[in-house]
Amino acid sequence: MIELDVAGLVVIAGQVLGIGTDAALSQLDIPAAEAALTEARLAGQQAASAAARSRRPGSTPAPPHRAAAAAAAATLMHALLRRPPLPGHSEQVAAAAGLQYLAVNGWQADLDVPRAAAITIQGLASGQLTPADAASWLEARLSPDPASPDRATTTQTPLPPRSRARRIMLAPFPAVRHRRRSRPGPFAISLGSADNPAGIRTPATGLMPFTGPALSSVILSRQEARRHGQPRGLEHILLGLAGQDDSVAVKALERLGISQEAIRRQAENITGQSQPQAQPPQAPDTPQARRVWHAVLDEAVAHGDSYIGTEHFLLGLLCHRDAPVVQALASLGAEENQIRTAITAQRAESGPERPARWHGVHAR
Amino acid sequence: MAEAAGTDSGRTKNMVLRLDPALAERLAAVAEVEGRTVSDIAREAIAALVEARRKDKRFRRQLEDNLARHQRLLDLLREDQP
Repeated sequence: MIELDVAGLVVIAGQVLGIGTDAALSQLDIPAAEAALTEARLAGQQAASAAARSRRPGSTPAPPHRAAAAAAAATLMHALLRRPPLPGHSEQVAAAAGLQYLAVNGWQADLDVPRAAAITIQGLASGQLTPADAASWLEARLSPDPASPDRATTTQTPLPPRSRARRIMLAPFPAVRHRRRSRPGPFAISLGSADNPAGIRTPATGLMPFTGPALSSVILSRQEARRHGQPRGLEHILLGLAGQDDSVAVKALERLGISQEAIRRQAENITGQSQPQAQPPQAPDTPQARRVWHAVLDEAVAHGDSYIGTEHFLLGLLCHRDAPVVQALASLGAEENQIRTAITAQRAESGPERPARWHGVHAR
Repeated sequence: MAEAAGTDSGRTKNMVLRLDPALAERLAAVAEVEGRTVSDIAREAIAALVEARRKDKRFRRQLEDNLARHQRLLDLLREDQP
């Protein structure tokens, strides 16, 4: 790991607060800064050691480790929030320092929904979230920095075997449910059971249950992907949404003059451009679809909702601005701002979607 | 490395530096040879370190990219500041 030092923290604070390095240095509480940097270093070392222990003998090490970077950055932010080394604006300094820590170690954070990131940092500041919670949240949003020469050869490095992010992102739904029972993870997706509501659970949010239409759209998107012999992608998620007659997402798009049929046609066109795979897909979701899961949760948190509805899925899709699905929506007259406005209006009119009931469906 | 103590007065800030004995000895030796105070040397060293980091092009580029990329988040945190 490449460690930040006090001088680096001075430069970061001077820049983010717009006061310059001289002023930042003169105001800096050096012991507080030193203590925060030491805590971050120790947290990173501990996480890296844990990852090394879990690595299979003979496998190629891939430092700096994703989990170690996330743990160190989250701990650094927490320490800087708990004992700010500069008066005022501690959250900005902490966020900038954490992000810079990640950058110098070749990682970038994909914070698609800034409001959700702000809530996480504020939760860390208030003590509602622990550094471990924040690290889990952050780890799932890290990707190798393409501009970093240190990471240029590691972009193809698979996630470590026991990485929480790997368990979350690569496991099919039933497997996640099974693992949740045997080893609770920080982020688990469930299609529900008689005594286990369907939804997404994280340490930070607790269970975020799916609404009925959201759960139906998840199941339908999986069926559409299977029908086409493809891993679930954005187009299948859109097809799943298009099949929910009375959902907030469909009603919001109808407000923009877009019919369910038009949505379905666009999504089918995109699906038809992808070739079915000869073998069953290795992973249930494409990387883009896996990222949508996180964006969906972020959207729900950002809206202050305690559930996940179809509107969050629709907004989650928008994190891939250049994706054909998002471009197709735009070509129909649904740009991001318009969609957000329509969803706000629809929610004001119809209220939240009905809660999900156990459907008795075992998705594979 | 250091522990702050005392108060701000004018343009300077009193601090107590806690150093390991070997480093403290070297610092005292440098100060004596150069005919300057230990605090002068320490202040200069910290300022030089900050200046070096400030001129580190890669560090600066990463920082500027980061701040630009996450501008909205930083704005939200500033707006929400109590």
